[in-house]
Amino acid sequence: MATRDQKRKEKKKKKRDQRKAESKKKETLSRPPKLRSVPSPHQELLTRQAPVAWDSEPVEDVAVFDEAVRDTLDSDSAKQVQSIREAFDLALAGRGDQSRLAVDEIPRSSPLSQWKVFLLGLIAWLKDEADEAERAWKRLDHSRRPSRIAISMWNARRSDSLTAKVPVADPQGEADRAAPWHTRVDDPLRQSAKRLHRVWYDRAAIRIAESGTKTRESIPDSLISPEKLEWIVEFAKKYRDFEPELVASLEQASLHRAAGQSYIDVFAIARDELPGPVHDPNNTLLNYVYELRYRDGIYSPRVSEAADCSLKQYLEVELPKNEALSKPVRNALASELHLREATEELNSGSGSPILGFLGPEYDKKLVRSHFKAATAAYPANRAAHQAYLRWIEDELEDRWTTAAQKKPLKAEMAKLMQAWSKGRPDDKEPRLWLLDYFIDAEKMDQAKPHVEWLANARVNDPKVRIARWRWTLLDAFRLCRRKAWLDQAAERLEESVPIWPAWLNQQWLPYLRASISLRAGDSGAYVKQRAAICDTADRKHLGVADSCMALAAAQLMRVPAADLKPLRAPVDAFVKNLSGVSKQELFDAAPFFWDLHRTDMLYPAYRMHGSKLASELNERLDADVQFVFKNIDDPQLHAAMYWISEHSIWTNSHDLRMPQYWTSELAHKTPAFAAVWANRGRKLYWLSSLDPDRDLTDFLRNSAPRQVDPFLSSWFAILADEMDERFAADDRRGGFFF
Amino acid sequence: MPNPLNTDPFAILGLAEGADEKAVRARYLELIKKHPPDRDAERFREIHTAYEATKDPLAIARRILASLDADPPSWSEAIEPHKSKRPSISVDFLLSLGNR
Repeated sequence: MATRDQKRKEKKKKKRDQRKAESKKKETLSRPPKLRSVPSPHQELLTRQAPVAWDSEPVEDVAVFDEAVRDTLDSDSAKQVQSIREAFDLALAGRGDQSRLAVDEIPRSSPLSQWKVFLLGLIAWLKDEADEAERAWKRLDHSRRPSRIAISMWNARRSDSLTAKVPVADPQGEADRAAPWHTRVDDPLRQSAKRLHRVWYDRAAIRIAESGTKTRESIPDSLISPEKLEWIVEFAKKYRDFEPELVASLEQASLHRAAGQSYIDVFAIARDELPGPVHDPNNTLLNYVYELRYRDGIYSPRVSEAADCSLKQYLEVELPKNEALSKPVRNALASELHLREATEELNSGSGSPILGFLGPEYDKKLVRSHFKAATAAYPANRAAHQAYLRWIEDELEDRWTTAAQKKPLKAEMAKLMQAWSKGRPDDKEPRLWLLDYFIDAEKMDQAKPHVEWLANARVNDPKVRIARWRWTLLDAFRLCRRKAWLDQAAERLEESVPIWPAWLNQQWLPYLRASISLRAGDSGAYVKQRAAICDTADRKHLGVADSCMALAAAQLMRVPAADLKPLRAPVDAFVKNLSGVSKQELFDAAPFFWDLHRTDMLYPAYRMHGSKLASELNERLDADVQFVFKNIDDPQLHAAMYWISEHSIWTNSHDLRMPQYWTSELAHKTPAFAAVWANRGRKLYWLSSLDPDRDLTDFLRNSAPRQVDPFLSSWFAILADEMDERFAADDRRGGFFF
Repeated sequence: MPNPLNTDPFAILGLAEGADEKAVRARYLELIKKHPPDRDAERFREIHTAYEATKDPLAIARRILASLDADPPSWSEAIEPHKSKRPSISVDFLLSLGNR
């Protein structure tokens, strides 16, 4: 008899076993159903895919599928057989017209003409033109293979004809001769029709793919589980022959789904088991993206060693050898990848919205090498040149960049512009820059082709249209380098007057003329000319405007430093005591500075005070918003805002922070406000802060034709196009690449 | 982000991605014959734009990289386009249909 202890132990064991059984049941219920193994295509499909000659089959017919027999034919017949094979390939590739052409030369008298007729029917059948197919096929000799193929193809169209018990036709019988051509079905033909029906009409592979992919993943909320992956691999093996595109599509979908989740092991299986796409057959590029995206399971900062390894392998080893892509495509891909790397490295540094002030300085050497590689790999990649240019401009504008560092940067810019112009000869931007550069360097011969191109270019760009005027004026400045050339300088200056742009103020012209006197050493004449200017000028052109115009003209006319000193002094005094300068004076000087910017005529001393004056005016306007609203349609206010937007007053390289006097509402009503948003925004690396007002580009474009000022009419359209291009490039990168 | 498969010029022309220049041109000529500009202007424009897009190496490169950033396709997106396409049959399979 069991003791109390024994009974207690038995009871406990029973409860324990019960609990185990229940938990095993729960586990089984929560586990998704196991994927059934992929059904194979019908066994006969695998074993009967090859043509087999029968005993009395004509040798010409056998030659179509047996090369050894083809070699025994005479050369004409062998050539015709070759054409028939080519025609088959073309027809099955969907190139019906070329297929027809391939067999065009086969004469009616040739025993191989049956194949020509069959191919005409095949081309029609592949286009679902049944009547056309029948017209060809009913003419075929029923005892030969082309006709037999046609009969199986015809009967494959309907599943009811696959099982119909039709007696084998007797070719000699009257009744049989009268029967429709496609009813001459024997058992082998019926089997052939069944096989074709299953592959061509039934599309078993599609049904199997749909049901297999619908099963629940074993990992909850995952995009693809290891079991599903295994199933896809099995499916691919079995159906690749008949459904290569469907299989490829499922494999690519599996790869992307594996790459879209943080299960590293699942991704590794997919990467190693599935073939990659044409451009990335080993999934090396995908691996690079994945390493950046999911290493350590979090959005990680850039520069993962493994990611860099993959990218290096792809760019240096695999892509150059990938003959499935044309060379231009390979180069374009390399260029875009380097451009992305440069941009992402820039974004990873200080100022990055993610890392902010916590981030390290970005690696300038790396950025430079990527920009160089991007422009070298595909010189026609305008976006690469533009991004590289923006970076150099930022470096030059950076207050921490020393004068010694600026020299090589300028040389780098010159090289970039020349490469850009060579890679994209129809782009105006590098030509405009090179024009100034070569004139400045007194390389007039190298400048001339660009002047001619710009003068003849049918481009609706004010900077292009004034190219000849700028060339003439810049030449006048150049001629001021030597006193012996001053007469020529004066002549060139006067040559610029008749071609002075109508939309550009000529208030500066008297200062330029006066500066030639100062350059010549005739200070008496200079003083008289300056006095005459002040007498004729209205109040607007005194004070800051007068001093800056005088300094600008003198400096560009190469007045020596000693003579420049008294002209610098008043400007320096204004800058030293900005609070003492009235808002009106700054406001009145704005149109002159805007003119210099929009004609790229900034004088060297401008960089010492230009942004300070602009910044001061910006603050004054910000403090007196009513002044702005009162003058909202005043072209002088617009000129002031355009001038301010030329400087990095409203931005760092990532965010646009517009002043108080600018509102989105105003920008949607007044084109000038939209223009300043675009003018500043296009200089940002990231455009995410501009997204809420993205529609301003359309508003700007639509406002352009209504502008009376021809400069603004072109400029608004150019800004709109440039912003759209920048947004498109930003969207392509999807913000984050990782 | 939208799946670029839906705007893929190769898909619009009914070709596999990366089809060679010869195949693309042949297909283009075949399609515009079926959809001439005077009879089917919109379709012609679509075909012509897709054809031009297939030729520009930068556009091809950008499309490739955009596909890396795109959301993974659903299974039905991967399968659906193939329902209207023909499966592949080899010449030998076709010839084997005439076996006795």
